[in-house]
Amino acid sequence: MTVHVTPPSSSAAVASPAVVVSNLRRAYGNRVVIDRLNLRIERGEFVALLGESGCGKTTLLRALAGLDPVQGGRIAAPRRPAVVFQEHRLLPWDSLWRNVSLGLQVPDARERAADALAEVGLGDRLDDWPRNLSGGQAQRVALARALVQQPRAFCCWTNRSLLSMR
Amino acid sequence: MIVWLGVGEAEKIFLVALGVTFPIYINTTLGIRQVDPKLIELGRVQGLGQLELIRRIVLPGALPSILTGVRYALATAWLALVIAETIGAQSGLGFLAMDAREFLRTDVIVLTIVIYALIGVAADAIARLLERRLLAWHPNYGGGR
Repeated sequence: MTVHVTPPSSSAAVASPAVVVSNLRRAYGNRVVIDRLNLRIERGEFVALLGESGCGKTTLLRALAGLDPVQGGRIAAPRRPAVVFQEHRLLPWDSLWRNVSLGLQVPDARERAADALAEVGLGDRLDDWPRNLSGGQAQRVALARALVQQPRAFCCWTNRSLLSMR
Repeated sequence: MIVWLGVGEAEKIFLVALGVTFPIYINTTLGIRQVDPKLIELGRVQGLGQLELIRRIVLPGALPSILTGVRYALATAWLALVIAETIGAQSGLGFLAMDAREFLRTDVIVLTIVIYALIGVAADAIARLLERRLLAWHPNYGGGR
């Protein structure tokens, strides 16, 4: 697996790192996918994991997001990172704003969701169903759902379609 | 059960309850089992508590199956009710039919059968309306655009 790290912006390096992974190990049965992986991500840093399919990108992200029990090694990461999954995983029975505000414990959830949806360019679709969205739009709603949590860390599976909107 | 509860309202209610419990129970468990585990995982990631997880993800996900159970249960309930009404009743539709049989009043018997049928159709229509309302999000139920 290759890990491409973009250099951190000027002031970020001073603070303590946001994520530290040391000697991470993960095996599925006898197949060791991640072996003694060390990774350090500074605050404000943007890291992209690239590699062929099956090389362990998802495994590492799942571990960082706390979705996978740690088999060996140690992970120090913010307790609740926001996650954008590979698939959009929108709840088909909830309108877009209800999807975006899922798990948001504030009284003005709808306004916050509206802001987040406007940020991804879907501000006029608050009460629409997810099934009326295109694939890329659904991914953007999933992104809004993660942004609205104002996370300290961000785990994001992606493909070119999501990156294309940046 | 008829021996225990006697021939009266209690026995009818029991028979109907027995008829509806299992279709609803079995379909509800099936529905919960079929909820997409990826959505459950999403709920966890978004920090939902156990109750919120059930309310926002498990129940809506299981709803199509639950409503199928309700619809099936309505048919069973109706069947059970007709039987209970006919065996031991001192008044009501079943009594009317049995009484008419005694006096060879074919017209009354046909009338009771028609009334039974109408109520049955109405009950099913209500169940279908519930499906259309509650599952409006579902492309296969809500008559999606």
